[in-house]
Amino acid sequence: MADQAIHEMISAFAAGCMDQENYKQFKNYIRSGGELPEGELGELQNVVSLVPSILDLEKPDAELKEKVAKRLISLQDEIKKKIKEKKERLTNEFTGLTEESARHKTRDDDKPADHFATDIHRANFTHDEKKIADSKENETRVRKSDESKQYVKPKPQPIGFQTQTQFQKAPQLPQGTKPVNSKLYMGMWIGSSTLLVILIIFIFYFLKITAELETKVNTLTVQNNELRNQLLVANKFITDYSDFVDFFNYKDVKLVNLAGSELSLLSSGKLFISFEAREGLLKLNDLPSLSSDQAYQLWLVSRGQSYSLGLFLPKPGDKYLKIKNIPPVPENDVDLVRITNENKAGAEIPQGNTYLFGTFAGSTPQQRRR
Amino acid sequence: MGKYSDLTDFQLIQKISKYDSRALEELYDRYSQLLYTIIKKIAPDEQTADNVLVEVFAIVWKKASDIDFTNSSVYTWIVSLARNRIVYELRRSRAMIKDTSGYNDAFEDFFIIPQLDKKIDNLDLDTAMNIKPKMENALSKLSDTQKYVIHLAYYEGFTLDEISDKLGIPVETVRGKIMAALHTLKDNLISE
Repeated sequence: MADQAIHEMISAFAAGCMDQENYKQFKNYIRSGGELPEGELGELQNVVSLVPSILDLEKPDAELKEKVAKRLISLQDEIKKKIKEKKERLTNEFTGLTEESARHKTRDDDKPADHFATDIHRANFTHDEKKIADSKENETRVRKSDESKQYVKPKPQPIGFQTQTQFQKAPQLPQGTKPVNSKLYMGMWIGSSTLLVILIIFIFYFLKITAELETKVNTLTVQNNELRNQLLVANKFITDYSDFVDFFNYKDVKLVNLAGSELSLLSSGKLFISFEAREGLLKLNDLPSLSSDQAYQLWLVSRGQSYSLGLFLPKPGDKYLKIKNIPPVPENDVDLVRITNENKAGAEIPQGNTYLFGTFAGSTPQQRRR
Repeated sequence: MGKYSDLTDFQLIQKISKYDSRALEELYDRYSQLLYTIIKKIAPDEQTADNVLVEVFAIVWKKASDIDFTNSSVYTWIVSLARNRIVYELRRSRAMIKDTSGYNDAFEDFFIIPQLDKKIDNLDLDTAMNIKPKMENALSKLSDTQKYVIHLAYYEGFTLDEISDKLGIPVETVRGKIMAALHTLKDNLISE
């Protein structure tokens, strides 16, 4: 029964349908290294993740990629903070390690108070730090035991009273027996301790510098990414608006502001026309969606006659619509520009309702004709 | 992008963990269609779907350095991440909760970031897409009830209790049905 329950929990966890309390309990159980039937959760997680692979893929709007880039830029402060915290944590670890080594050195002097300090500190160690600390402690312990042996050795022989002759005779001592000189030993001990301290300091600064360099590299990477993202946005802007920029090279560009009719009060638009090049650019805002069998049609009304400038269906990502082959109508004869809803196939003359309309900015066509 | 497109999902995520934005761009190009499809299927509305897709990649960017992907499955992780994130929005919308103050880093780490089995087989997008026909067959062999409970759990984001209420059957039965459905699906997939 218990087995059945664990299998059921694994399945519910993999399918993502546990309620919050059971989810917490089960996740904590996994995190604390609780035993599960080997590989079962992983297998089911893979199977569940394959379920949506059968869906027909839908491409997200191109603007979303731009939004992701902008979101990453907005995260840069958070990332920098994270890197800084990581650096501080690393530095603290190094500092802790160096202080620990210093304590070991003090412990050589057999001060009991330091044992408590070290033990408490060691209790906070991570596994790796503990391993490093333990290996150092062992090193010290070995050295201490060697030292104690060496201190004990001289006891039977009063070394201090050895004569020069005795030193000279030393090579004649039985094999394996070494002559002992306390001053020489002390010198060696002090020398090796000093060397050890220098080595520790060197390692500490080396690691500190490495950590600082790593942080700088990370910061530079973040800045680099930020610049790259900005470049991406700029490139996209240039790509999106290159036609727009080219268009404004025409000298006779005229603007028609389009206002919404009673059917689309919130809609607006702008039409830029070059009569010389017979081209135009149309920018639309908030046009209502049409039924699937309809499309919008742009009209230019001149002397009472309507000329179609094209059919279109505005999409959310469209920056502007390009209009080509504008009829060769004299600019002064243009009465009105308007947009109507028509059958998807288009109409010869406007038959639908007007959604947007406008005249040339600054004057009315009638005035200009006069 | 030639160089990055040759990288495996695992290599990409390793680069992302070092804040390499080109790697994230490649991951986006590779996964955005699948993730957007999943998210849109679950999302309460299109606006939420768009926002969640952006958020999923922001989470990958923020959290990749905290996660050890060795012996892991990037595909399973990222698909589960997207699913968890949009199901959170769906449940919030269903409960008509507008306040998002409960969503913080700790919440995200515990409830949104997927906890994968340490002994999971590595799966990448290419492999997953190659398995698609087999998966379709494996799913089609499930009983209608099994398909329905998987749909309710995975796409509708219902919990065991909610499925029990919805179907009017005891929660113990629902647990058993979810388990049976997933194991049958796994077996069907193996036998394909």
